[in-house]
Amino acid sequence: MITILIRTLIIYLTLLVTMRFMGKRQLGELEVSELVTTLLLSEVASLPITNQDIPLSYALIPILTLMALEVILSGVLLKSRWLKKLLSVRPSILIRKGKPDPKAMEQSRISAEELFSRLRQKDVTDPADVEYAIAEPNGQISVILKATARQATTKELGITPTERGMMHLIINDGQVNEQNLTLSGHDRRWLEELLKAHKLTERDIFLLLCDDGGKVRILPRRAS
Amino acid sequence: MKSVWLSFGVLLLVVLLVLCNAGYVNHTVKNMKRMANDLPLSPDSGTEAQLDNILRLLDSHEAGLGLSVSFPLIDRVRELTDSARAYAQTGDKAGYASSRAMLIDAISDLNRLEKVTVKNIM
Repeated sequence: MITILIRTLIIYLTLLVTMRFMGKRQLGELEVSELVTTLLLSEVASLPITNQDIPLSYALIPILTLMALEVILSGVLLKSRWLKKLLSVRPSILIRKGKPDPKAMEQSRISAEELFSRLRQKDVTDPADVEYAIAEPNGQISVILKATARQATTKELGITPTERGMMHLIINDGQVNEQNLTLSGHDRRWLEELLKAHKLTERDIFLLLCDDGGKVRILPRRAS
Repeated sequence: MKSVWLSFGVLLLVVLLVLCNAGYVNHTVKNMKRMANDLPLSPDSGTEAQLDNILRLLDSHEAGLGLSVSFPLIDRVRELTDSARAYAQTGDKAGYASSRAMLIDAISDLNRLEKVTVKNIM
């Protein structure tokens, strides 16, 4: 098992360094160390399941070691700036004030075609409209438009609309969701009065939604 | 940070378990190897009893060894001990000598993963 432990450490460190150098494009939503752990765990865990000849410890030791290393590393990364700089992928600015940065694009290995495609996916057709386009550590590209290209906000228009918050699903297929009822800032009595006013029972309702502003939307099970 | 310390504890525990297991496996294999090396080059009247002792030692430590030694390796040692015993019983000197040599190799394989060498790791 000593060999397995040492091999696990070597493979973990090798993958960590490899993934770090592969950069943002390969990462998806995960941090480097998370991706490495996920890759290794899925392989290691299946070993004793598919091969009856090897002891369970051949998977248990690497799994526990990887889990511990991952948590320790994430904890250490919070404290150590130097290590964070070394192991974590940093965001890089691909477009600054409408001008693409070829050096940053080269470092992130993002071609102009790919950058333009990513911009189009965000409904941007002209890079000149972009104040900043940033390649994020998780592989995504954040686009911040110039003030002239942005849709005007209600603040800029001098309008103060009512804050509606979010819609809470209070009744779903005749079943009351008590947690959402409380979250919406109402109680059972309010719901009973509402149903009474609409001459409905809980069972008659397919969906009952209520937003933070108090606006209610009722969808009965059968159109009356 | 609680989870970090907990993970640190788990890692220490894993290392400790691995080291203890390595000590146990190495000790058991060392004893078996000594017994196998003590076997005469040609079978004599005491050879079968010596092979029985090796089998008994293997039986008594099979559960412990099975935690970290792959089952085909343990089975191989058992098979070779049985085969050496059969050759000793029939007086087949060549067969016995071959089985004896293979048994010593098979016993050495039991703790291959507990030896920190470049060859094993790579």
